[in-house]
Amino acid sequence: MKDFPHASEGAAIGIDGLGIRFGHHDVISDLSLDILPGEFLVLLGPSGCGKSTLLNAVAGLIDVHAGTISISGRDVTRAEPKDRGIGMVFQSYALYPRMSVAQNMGFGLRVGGMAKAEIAERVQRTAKFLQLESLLGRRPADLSGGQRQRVAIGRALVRDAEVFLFDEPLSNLDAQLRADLRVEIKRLHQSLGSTMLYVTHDQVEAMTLADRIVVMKGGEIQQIGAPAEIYGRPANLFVAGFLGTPKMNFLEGDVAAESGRRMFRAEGLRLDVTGMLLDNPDFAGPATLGLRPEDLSPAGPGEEAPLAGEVTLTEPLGPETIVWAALGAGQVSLRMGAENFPAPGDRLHIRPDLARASLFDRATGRRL
Amino acid sequence: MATLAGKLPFRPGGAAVALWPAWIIVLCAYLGTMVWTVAVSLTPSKLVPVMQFAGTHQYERLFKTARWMTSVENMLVFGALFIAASMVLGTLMAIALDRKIAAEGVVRTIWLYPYSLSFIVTGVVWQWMMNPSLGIQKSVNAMGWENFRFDWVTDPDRALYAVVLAAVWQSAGLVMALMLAGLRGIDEDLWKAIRVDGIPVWRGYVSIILPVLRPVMVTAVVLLGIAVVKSYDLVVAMTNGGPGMATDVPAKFIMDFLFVRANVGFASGAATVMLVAVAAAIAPWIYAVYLRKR
Repeated sequence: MKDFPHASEGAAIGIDGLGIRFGHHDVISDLSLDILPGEFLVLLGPSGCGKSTLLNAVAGLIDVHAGTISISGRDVTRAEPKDRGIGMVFQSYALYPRMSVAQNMGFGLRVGGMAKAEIAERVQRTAKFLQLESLLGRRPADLSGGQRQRVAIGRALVRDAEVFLFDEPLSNLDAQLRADLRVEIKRLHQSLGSTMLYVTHDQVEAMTLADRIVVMKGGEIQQIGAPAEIYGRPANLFVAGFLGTPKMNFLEGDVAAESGRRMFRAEGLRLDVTGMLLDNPDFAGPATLGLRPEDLSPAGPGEEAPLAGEVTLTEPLGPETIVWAALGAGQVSLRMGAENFPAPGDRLHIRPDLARASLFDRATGRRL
Repeated sequence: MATLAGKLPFRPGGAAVALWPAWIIVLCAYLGTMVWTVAVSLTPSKLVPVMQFAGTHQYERLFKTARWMTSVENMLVFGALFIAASMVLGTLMAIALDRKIAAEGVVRTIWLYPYSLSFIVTGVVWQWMMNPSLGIQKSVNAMGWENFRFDWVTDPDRALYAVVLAAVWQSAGLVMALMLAGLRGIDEDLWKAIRVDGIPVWRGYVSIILPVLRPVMVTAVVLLGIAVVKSYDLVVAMTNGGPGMATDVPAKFIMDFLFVRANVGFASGAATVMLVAVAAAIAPWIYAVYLRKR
């Protein structure tokens, strides 16, 4: 996007040994994270996991107790928010209610002492890029949710922000609008190429928007990786359970070597898991087997089916159906087609796709 | 609408019955007495009401009465200064509390405390404090500053400002409480946006936050305005309208002629003028807020 030279270059964010303390309580301690230029990085986690705190620290809105933050190679740990080259989009968008769209975008520049003609030109250029030209005279209250989001982004763009920080911008919108605005943000990232740091507790937003996802819990990073990696090879039980709807099925049992084969044994269940690629192939002991609902399928006639149970509930969703079945080792869900799914009470033989399964050490919760 | 009526937990007829006591009070107590006052103002009534038409006689007399004109003028000066000072002071106090100063609970209580007093008590206390032979002036003189003067209550040119001072002391806390509630309702993200935009805090208040609180400010001004129109107790307790007519106000004028001077028709005329004046002042506002741009 040649209109916004800074944006297209992107800017890396470096977080090194960060510590944030509220009173005597450490919210985040010794956290390090590098965000690449032009990357769309999503901080994902349940509420209270420290993701918003981390974002606010990058913005300079809360004080850092230890460590450094740098943006575009410049140490900004102690810099004021306005001097960090950032733009921030908030959950409520936080537009200035009594000002027009043009004033919303230009007010920061005006206070900063920029010449009126220059402000007008920048606002005009940004409005054109964001298709807000016809709305410049309107008040925020007269705008739709999508338009408000664009104004919030425009307010950052006029200031030549190199980095965009999003603080759960879609959280209080209805489902349809959320889906529309998600697409709009993604499109914007593609055309601007700026670095974007995005906080959400919504896994769908994280999966669809991110180049990389950082899953957080209790102020600590659980896993960093591309969406497919986070989903397919979760690093621990928390990540495995947090992503995916319905949740990953967990079967509790133990792993033991039996005459050269690696076996997973649970109540009424013996699975040969020798073929699974494990980081820790010599492990033996209590373990949890994780299987995504789509990695379980009903066995055809004559096929070997190590799992068997009774269907308890079906949830037809339109394109697919979630089938719940009670096994000896617990309740599992299966993702099945829109048609020809079993009815509650039916006996179901299930074949797991072990190549896509995950095994976790039950003691530490870590992936094996 | 038919479906809505079906969903109500009571029949609309029942609601109308339940509202009748309120309607009776409004019609008899408020509107009835208003109409009666206007009627009496058109009679030559003295000690007791006499229902005999006398045209605009009382009104002609009223506007030839110097004391009435002075009291109206006093009310306007008092009102303008009192409302402006209370708004500014109350808003500044609210902002100070909003900036999370230490011991907020204590400070807030102290600042709101005067409002819990009756205007009579406020008036008496300030009258004592400002009485040159009893209060502040005497104490300061006794400490050695012999030439110190603080005798506003007894100075005809300054007595009105003394009343303003006491009234502001009493009412600024109310504005503070209203504005603080408004400020606490401001989305925290708005402040973050202001910081990210590099807007200084004072500028944030002036250009962004206070404009959002305009409805709260209108409420505060209306409440203060009502206090101005009915200002009577404070004046009676502090200066009793004096020295001379220096602090006389319309409400006191009306009360004097109703109950002391036994001139019911004349007082009713003055009361009617007040009613019309207030209605004229409020009408454009009601029009602007409720009737326009619907």
